[in-house]
Amino acid sequence: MNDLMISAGKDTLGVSCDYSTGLIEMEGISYPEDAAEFFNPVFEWIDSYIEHVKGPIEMNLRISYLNTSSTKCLFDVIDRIEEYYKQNNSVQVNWYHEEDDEDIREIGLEFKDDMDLPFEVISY
Amino acid sequence: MKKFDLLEFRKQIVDHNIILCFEGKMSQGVLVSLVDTLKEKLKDSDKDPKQRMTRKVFSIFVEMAQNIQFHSGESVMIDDRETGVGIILIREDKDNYVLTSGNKVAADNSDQLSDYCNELNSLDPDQLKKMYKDRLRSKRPENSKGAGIGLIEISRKSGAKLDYSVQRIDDDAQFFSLTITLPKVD
Repeated sequence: MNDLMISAGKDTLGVSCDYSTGLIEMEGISYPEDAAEFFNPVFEWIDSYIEHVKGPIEMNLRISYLNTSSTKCLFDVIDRIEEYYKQNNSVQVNWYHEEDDEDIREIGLEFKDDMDLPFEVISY
Repeated sequence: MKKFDLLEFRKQIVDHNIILCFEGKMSQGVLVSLVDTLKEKLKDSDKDPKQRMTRKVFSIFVEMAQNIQFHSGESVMIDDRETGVGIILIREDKDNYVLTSGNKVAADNSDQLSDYCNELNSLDPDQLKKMYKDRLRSKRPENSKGAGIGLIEISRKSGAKLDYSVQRIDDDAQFFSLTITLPKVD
C-alpha cells in the first residue's frame, strides 16, 4: 500500500495520507469543479487502509474554505471513518479552525454534532 | 460591430457601484481568477477586521458562480466538461454588498426552480439547517457535480429570503436571476 500525497491547488486541498501511521491530513481551500472526482483517491486510500492495514486513523483538518459540494464529500469521508470507528477501531478527527473563522468552526461543529466518533473542534 | 459608447458603459458601472462583473462561460479557470480578483477587492475592507463579511461574500459568490457552472440552461463543452453560461456581479456601497447572478433556465424547469426557492423562503433557520444536514447525509443528486446544497447555503449564510425573478426569454427559455443583499454591519 502507498502513501497518498496531493499538493494544494488554488481551488483544491493539500492532502497527505501516511499508511505507516494512519495519519490523514488535509489543508487549504476547496471549491473544485468536480469535488467527487477530487475526493475519489482519498476514499480509495481510506478503503484500502481499512482493508489491508486495519490500523488506527488520525485525521487532522486545517481548512479555510469549503464550498458545499466539497463539504458533502468531506462529510462522506468522515462518515466512512465513523463506520470504521463503530467496528471497534481507534480513530480521532481533529478539526482545526482559525480563531476568527466562524464559518469553518460552524461546519466542524455541525459535523461533530452529526457524527458518533471522537471529533475535536480546535481553534488556533 | 455595433458602435460602443465606452463612457456611457463606464458611467453605468460607476453609477451602480459594480465592483466585479462577469458574463459568459463559467469555466473553473474563470471562477478561480474571479475569486482572486474578489479577494483583492475585499482585502482592504477596514470595517471587517475579522474577515467575517469577506468570508460571507466569498462563499455566497462561489455558490452562485457554481450554480451557473453546474445548472445553467445554457452550456458549452470546455475540455470535455459541460460548462454553464451566465452572468454574475457584485455591487458595493457604504452599507451593503449586493450579489446578483443570472442564467438561462429551460422553460420546463423554471417552475420547479421557483417552487424550490419559495420552499426555501418558507423555512426558518432551524428548518434550513435540518434540510442542509439531510442533504449532507443523502446521496448526491444524479448527474450533478454539485451536492444540491448551494441555494440552502446561500439562504443560511445571508440570513435573508432568496430575492429571485424569472423572466421569459422565448418559448423554450426563461432567465433566472437571484440577488442577495449583505448588510455590512457585524
